[in-house]
Parts: sequence; structure tokens; C-alpha cells
Amino acid sequence: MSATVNPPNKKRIRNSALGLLAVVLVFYFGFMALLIYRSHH
Amino acid sequence: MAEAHAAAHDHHDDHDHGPAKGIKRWLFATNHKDIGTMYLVFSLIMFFIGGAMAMVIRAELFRPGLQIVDPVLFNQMTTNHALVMIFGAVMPAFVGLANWMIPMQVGAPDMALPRMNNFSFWILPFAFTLLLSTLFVPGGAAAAGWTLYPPLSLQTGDSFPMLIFAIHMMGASSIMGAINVIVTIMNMRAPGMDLLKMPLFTWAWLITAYLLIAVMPVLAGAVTMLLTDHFFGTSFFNAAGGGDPVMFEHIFWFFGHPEVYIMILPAFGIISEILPTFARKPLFGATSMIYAIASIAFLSFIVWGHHMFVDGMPLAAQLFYMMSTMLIAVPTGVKVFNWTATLWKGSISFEPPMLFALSFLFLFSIGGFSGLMLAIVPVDFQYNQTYFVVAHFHYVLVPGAIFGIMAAVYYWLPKWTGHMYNMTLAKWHFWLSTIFVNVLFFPQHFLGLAGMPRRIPDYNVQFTDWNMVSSIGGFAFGLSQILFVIVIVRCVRGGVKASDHVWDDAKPTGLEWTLSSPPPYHSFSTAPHIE
Repeated sequence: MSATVNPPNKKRIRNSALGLLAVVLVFYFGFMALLIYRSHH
Repeated sequence: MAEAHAAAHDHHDDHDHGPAKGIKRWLFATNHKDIGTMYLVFSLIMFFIGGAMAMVIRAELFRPGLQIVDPVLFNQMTTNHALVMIFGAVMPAFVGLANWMIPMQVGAPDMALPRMNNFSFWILPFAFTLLLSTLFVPGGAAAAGWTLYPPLSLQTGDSFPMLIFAIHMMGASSIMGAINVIVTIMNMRAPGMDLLKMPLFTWAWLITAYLLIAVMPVLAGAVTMLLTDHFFGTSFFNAAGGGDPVMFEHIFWFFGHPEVYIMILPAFGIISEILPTFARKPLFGATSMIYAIASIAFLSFIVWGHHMFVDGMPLAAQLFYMMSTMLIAVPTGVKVFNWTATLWKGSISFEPPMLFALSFLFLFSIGGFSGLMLAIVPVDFQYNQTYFVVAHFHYVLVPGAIFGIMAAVYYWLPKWTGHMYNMTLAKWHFWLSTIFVNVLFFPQHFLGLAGMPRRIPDYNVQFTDWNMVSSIGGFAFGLSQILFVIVIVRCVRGGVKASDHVWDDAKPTGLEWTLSSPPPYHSFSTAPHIE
């Protein structure tokens, strides 16, 4: 599309998106895991 | 923000295709402007649907007694009015503004993840069709309030799984939008644009996007656990099975309080762009504004307990949540001080975006002050579950978030369409909105202080007069929004040609004003250089 989306930048974009997705999944499953842990202790 | 000049850049995009023709342009849209437009149109439709529900509520409350709807439908209206306005009107409007403006403000050709952008928009019509269809299934729509507290919310009829799925879709859409905003800002800024050179709207959105990433999955987790409690025999929030319904409230408000800031921080950014333009002065304390927004965002994670004072909690917890909540007044005070100092000795003119921004400044402050009152534990014991709370959060969300959105639309609409809009009609829209939003919500403070409970379809006769005034304000405010649509439609269809700077004598700063009006299909095909 333009000079701003060159191959190294593409990699950075992909990695940042995947990193943020990982944070989202940690929050989603983390709270459920926390409650399950709490109910057993 | 810091003066940002684009070096000569190419306005032609002859190496790029233009928009597709017909419906395909919108169905398969990957262009940030097209997707931004779809978000804004969608949010306007939802604003009127949510507004229609509000009119049902105000019509029923015009007089004591039950006249128009039965109590169950009334509760469905309050619940769905909130869900539609929060997730369908305010949040998509800000995402639409982000889509339009962030690439243009950071000197990027488009958002970083355009196909995900398409997906995150197109989830929304399905989510809200599903949500609104719950009004027509046996047992009716959710009626337990937007907070969905169990065990009440678990008594929802057949629509319960539809509601949960709709909320999941809204959450997924918001998360994808937030990821796109962060990735775009962190990776696609023009050379020379340091973070501190970014415009305040982009800064506010960056912080908002991090809030979204942190809390939307928490809401999704909470409603997933409600779903498993309802259908799969778990007892996360079921006391009979060893669960804890109060735990849901904690988890919900861990999402819910930052959500309040998700709906107001982008408006802070918008006001920080508009006031300097029409005061013809640089923003006072621009860097401190960024720190103030970041501080508010941080504090929003540690104050959720103030929504639950009457649940019962240790004195130390009450004190902690009270103090931390009051602490938010410090960065907010910095912001209001900076906005006021920006106006001080400015050469002020009163175009529609400036009028909405000034109205925001006064009326949002009223909402902030009533919030401070509610932060005080013993006072909250009295005000909790009364119309005072309704008055408080509507002052924050209507002349706060919604006036912020309207200010932004009036500020950037000529840039988007290439036409100036009808200033007289827009000023009529402003004055009618500002007068009637106060007629609508200010009396609700009196009703709350006199003890009128919220979420009821009937009330004691002593509350009649102010309810009538409030309802008249509501109908008039709702009708005056038709002017907003007329101004926008007429501007899109034509009008006096807007210059590239649009507000020429005010000399707005920022990269978006270096583009033509309307801007080319791909904003910056060649990255501009920031001095």
C-alpha cells in the first residue's frame, strides 16, 4: 500500500496484534480460572 | 499538540484503486474512511433506537400510576436502553471517529489491520439484531438491568443465551477495534512523529484502547460464567452451590468502571482538539493532559468498589474505594484547569463544535461533582438506587460523551464531506440540545434527593411535578436530534465547498488539515515528514 507498510513493519504489526490477543485471552480465561481456584480453597 | 507540518506529499493516489462500486464497497470495505462512516451511521441508528426506548420510559414516568407499558416491559426498556446506548451508540461512534481520524492524524495510509477492521464492524449489526430480537421471544428481553446481576438475570426467559451471545459479539468487536487502534498508533506513525507529538485525540484513544483490551475480556468471562451457571450446572455465582453472587458484582464493576472511562476519554481528546482551535491558542499544558488521561485510566482500575458500598464491605475497603475515587478529581481537575487556561485571553469564536465543547466543559463538570458526592460512603448510603445516580451518570454520558461525539462530528464533518454544513441549523441543534438536556436531567437530582427510587415504572404522587418536567425535556431533547440528522444529510449531499483547513481563520493544527477536503481515498500514500 505504501512505504509505511514495508515487510519489517508487517512483522511488527503481526507480532503486536498477537501480543495483544494473548493479553485478551489471559484476562478472559484468567478470571474464570481464579474463580474456580477460589471455589476449591 | 506540537505543531506538526507535513512536508509536500502526494495527494494523488493514481497507483491505488478507488472505492469498489455499489454494495461491495461497504460489505468488503477495508478502507478506514468507509469503515469509519459505517460505524458512525450504525451508531446514529442505535442512538435513535436507544432514544426511542428512553421515550417509552419517560412517557410511562410522565404521570404516577401505570399507563402505557406493563412493569416487565418497562424493565426491559431500561435494560436495553442502556445496552443499546453504551455498546451500540457511544462506543461505535468513538470507534468510527478513531477509524476516520487516527490514520489521518498519525500520517498513515490506513489502519494497520484493515480486514480485521471490516470484521469488527460487521459483527455489530448481527450482535444488535440478536439483542433487539430478544424483545420478541417468549419471556421477553433481559429485564435485570444492564449490570446483569445474578440471581435476577438468571431468571431471564428464552432470550438469555441470545443476550449472552450478543454481548460476546459486542465484546469481540470492541477488542478487535482496540487491537487495531494500538497496532496502528504504535507501528504506522509517520517518520518524525514521536509519541508526544501525537494529537490529543489519538493519545486519548491509545489509552482507551488499552483499557478496552484489559476489561472487555473480563466482561466476556463474567457473562460466560453466567451462561454456564444457567445451562451447565456450575455455581460460580449461585450461593446454593457454594458460589457467590457478590463476586459477580466485583467482576462486573472491574469491567464496568473502566468502561465509564472508555466512554469519556476519547471525548476528552476531542475537546482538547477543539478548544485550542477556536480559542486560537495552543492547548495549555498539553503534556500534562496526556499524564492526566493516563492517571485517570490507571485509577479507573482501583475504584470499582464504590458501585457496591451498600453490599456491605469492611470499613477499610470502604475507605480505600472512597479515597481512590475522590483521587480521580485531581487529574480531572488538571484537565478542566488546562481547558479553562486554554480559553483564557483567547480569541474565541462560537462555531457549532466550539459551542458543544464549551457545553461539555460546564455540564460534564456537573456530572463530575455529583460523582464526587456519590463517592462519599455515608452519602452514597442515602443516594444509592435513587434518581440522583441516574442524574449523575446521564450528565456524564449525554452532555459528556454524546456532546463530545457531536462536537467531533461538527468539527470534522466538512473535512470528511468536502462541504460546509448549515451553521444556523447546527446552532439551533446545539441550543435546543443544551437547554433540553438540562430540563431532562437536572430535575432528576431533586427527585433522587427526595428519595425517588430508580428502575420503577410507578412512583409516589409527590414526585409528579419534576417527573413531568423531566419527561417534557426528554421528548424535546429527542425531537431536537432530528436537526442533527438533517444537518448531516444536507452536508453529505452538497453545500459550500470546504477549504483544506476548513476553519481557515482559526488555523487548526494537525496532519489531517494538510489533506484535501474531502481527503483522498488513501490518506497518506506517501508518509509525510514531521518537523
